[in-house]
Amino acid sequence: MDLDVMHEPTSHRVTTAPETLDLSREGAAVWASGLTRSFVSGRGRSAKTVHALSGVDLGIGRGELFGVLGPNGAGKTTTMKILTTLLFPTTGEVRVAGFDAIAKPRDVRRRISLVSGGDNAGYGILTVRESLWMFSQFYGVPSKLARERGEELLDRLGLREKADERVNRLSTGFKQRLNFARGFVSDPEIVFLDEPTLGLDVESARNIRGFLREWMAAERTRTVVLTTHYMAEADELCDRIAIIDRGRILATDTPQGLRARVSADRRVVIELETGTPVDALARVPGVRLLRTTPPGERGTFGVHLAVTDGRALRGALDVLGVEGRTIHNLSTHDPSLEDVFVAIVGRGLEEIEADEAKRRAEGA
Amino acid sequence: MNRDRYADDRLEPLRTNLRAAWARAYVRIFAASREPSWILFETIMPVLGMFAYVYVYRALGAPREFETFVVMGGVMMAYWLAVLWSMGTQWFFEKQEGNLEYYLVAPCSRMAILAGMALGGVVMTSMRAGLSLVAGVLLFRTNLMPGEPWLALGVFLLTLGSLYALGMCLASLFLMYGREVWHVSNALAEPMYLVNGLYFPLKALGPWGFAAISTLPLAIGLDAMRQLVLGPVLARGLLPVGTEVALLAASLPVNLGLAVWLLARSERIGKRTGALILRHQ
Amino acid sequence: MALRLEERLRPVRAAAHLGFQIETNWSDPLVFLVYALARPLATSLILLVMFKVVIGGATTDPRFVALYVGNALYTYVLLLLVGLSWAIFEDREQYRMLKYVAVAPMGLVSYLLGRSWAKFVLATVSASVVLGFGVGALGMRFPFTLPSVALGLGVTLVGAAGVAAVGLVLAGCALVFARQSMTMNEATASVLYLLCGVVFPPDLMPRLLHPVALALPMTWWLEASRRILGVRGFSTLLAQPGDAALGAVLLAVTAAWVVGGFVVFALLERRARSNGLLDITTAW
Repeated sequence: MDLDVMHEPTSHRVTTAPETLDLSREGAAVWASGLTRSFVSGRGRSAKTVHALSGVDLGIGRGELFGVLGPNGAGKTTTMKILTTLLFPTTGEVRVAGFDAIAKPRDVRRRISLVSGGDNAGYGILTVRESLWMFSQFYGVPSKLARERGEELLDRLGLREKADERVNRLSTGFKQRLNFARGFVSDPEIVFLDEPTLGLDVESARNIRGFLREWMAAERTRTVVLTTHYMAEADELCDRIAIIDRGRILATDTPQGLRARVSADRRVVIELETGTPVDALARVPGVRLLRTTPPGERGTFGVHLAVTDGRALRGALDVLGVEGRTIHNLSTHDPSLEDVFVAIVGRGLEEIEADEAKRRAEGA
Repeated sequence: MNRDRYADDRLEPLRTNLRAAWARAYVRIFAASREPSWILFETIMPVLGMFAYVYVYRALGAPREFETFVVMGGVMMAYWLAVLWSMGTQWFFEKQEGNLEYYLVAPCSRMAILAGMALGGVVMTSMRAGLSLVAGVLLFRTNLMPGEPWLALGVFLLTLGSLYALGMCLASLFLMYGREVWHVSNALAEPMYLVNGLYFPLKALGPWGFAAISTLPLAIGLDAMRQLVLGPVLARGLLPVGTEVALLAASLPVNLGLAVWLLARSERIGKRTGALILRHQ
Repeated sequence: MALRLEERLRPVRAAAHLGFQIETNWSDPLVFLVYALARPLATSLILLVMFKVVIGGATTDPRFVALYVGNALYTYVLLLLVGLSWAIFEDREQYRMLKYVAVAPMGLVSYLLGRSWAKFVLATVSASVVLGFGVGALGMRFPFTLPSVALGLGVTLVGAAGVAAVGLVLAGCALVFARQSMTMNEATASVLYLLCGVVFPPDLMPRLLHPVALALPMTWWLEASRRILGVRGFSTLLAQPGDAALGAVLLAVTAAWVVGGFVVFALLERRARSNGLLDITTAW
């Protein structure tokens, strides 16, 4: 098996090169083809059909840490529910750990575990230690082995001091750590993590990411499928990322590959006073106007540009200078995953979620 | 590489299910002791409620055997309520609290989880049932000594088995429902006391009594046990005890089979409609 | 001042609306009606069978009418009192909204009372149907004159206030005994069924329990309701005060419970806050 070391300063994990992954129907850790899923909400005449997935194809190799990145409502959780045998797709085929997830759910379940984000950590009356033991029993892990694994997880996830505390007396952060630990106590082949760091404090999130890297490094065939809408998390952790929006997977590649797809342009963010016209910037040779961000509290807004070189940037600044505009801030950077996302989806995650929140508020 | 720990282990499903059942029972049996206030609210207070019906008979000047009807009905009522609330509605509460999906993605059988709930539930509920018996004997001087204790114990265990299997059917039915589960369970308490003859001899229901005894394990078991304690005449038994034992024995596998079928069917429907993963309906 | 009252009432109205939605929108109206009536009608029928199997007489027998009326009105305890405490459990553990209500300016008491309004309406419908069943199917006769109906409505409101006051104490307990909040409702309802002279005269209970029965507003409310419906002599213990004195006792005991209910709830709520129990989940 060919190996290479990913150039990720925060990750020292040895991973399989994408081109050598077995992504075939039989060999992949997760393989899905043409997945669609519709939900009917309401009854009678007010019934509405919502299309959560509109033809998802996935191939995730053994040993990969695979991220599914998308805004709320993009179809991430629905995909996870289908992959973990909790939901049938409306159409399509799905295989997990080499088994048909629709026809052979038990064979799949023996080899996987699921952690949904949030602080739900089982029964409040149990202690942390008992809770880990109890969940291990649902997977048939012998008690002695379960206790050993439990103790190891307590140490590695910083839960040792809380081991004998009742779950309903834990703080949210510790409950989330326990919820996370629960997913590993059965030593699964494939772990599905649905927004595992959602709402977590920085320390706990770092703790969890560190653990995940160690866990993957310990055995090459261990696979993790992670949904998130945190760009940095996906960028830092994942070997490959699928970008999903409105029930479709729009791109799948390594973080580096995704960046390369966008172009080698430099990214420039210019902060201007709210209301400043920016259309003229798009006409400067070598400059593409990518998007603007909504006005902030300081009475300014951000203009995101892609520039081919320093001359193009100079041109853009000249346009603003001629028009007498005040530049409050200016920064440049390489294309980030956020830029990739915008280029592929057409909008930024924050914008999509702000629009979604606005639509919900109007609906209410 | 595809490591497979399970390929040749035929006993693995059995071991997993036994472990799962024990783990689920553990929560109820041992963890319960950490908050002993349940003894007051789930044992002592409901037993006091049962006394009201003893006093109704006293107010009406009824013969003493009617108090035995009430006490024995109160004992069995404890099990019915446990079946209804701690089994029937349990999936619903698990779903609301977000635990259900963790059961559903685990490889153990859902029947194993339900069996664990039943085992834990029986242990806890027996405390309440035992207290009802003790209170009946000590406070109301009720005669509760069966003529054939082993037969009575056998009928009791058969009734419990069939009753908890019925609870598994309810749990399976309720798996994909939302808030209506709570309401339906609520509405199933008193009407079930009525049709099972918890406070009076089933014979008083006339033809309805026969309808109940042909379908409800609680009605059959209670009628049989009352006959074993009071004798067929005072107990106003509906059918001979032997017939009732045969009915109970037949109802156990029927209810269990029905539960397995319903569970599989509910899960399929739930996965098709998405009802398994929807919370706060 | 009027505006402030309006401001105070708005969230209570919203809570009442929420209560109606939660109570009724889970099913179509027919199923809902069956549900709402199944429980009280079933208990009435249980009592009917018990009466028939022992006495075998007419259902117009005053002994039966007395326990039938008590049982019909007990619906207020089952729905209103239990509902107050259940709302705590439901909002804390199922909907996980209790903490948000607790930090809102309206306060938990206003919210709970607003949310329970639906239960009061449901209990009134249910009790009316059961009493109507007694008249229509069991041949009972109640003196429905204008003064008796007016008095009956007034006593029902006082009775409901007493039930709600006891319910507030129970709701406070549900905040503190978090784990038992689901089971304590039904358990308390069972004990009150015994203590309040619902289906048998409290005289029959051991003397030790008589003061407890007399200290509960429901005991006096049920006796007053029976008298208004023409049923007298149900209990020697409760027969002593004349009608006016009975009214005064009912008002006094209810008022004491209303004040006590608010105070006890406030104390228990403070305890729950200090122990961090407002957003606890306890299931096992």
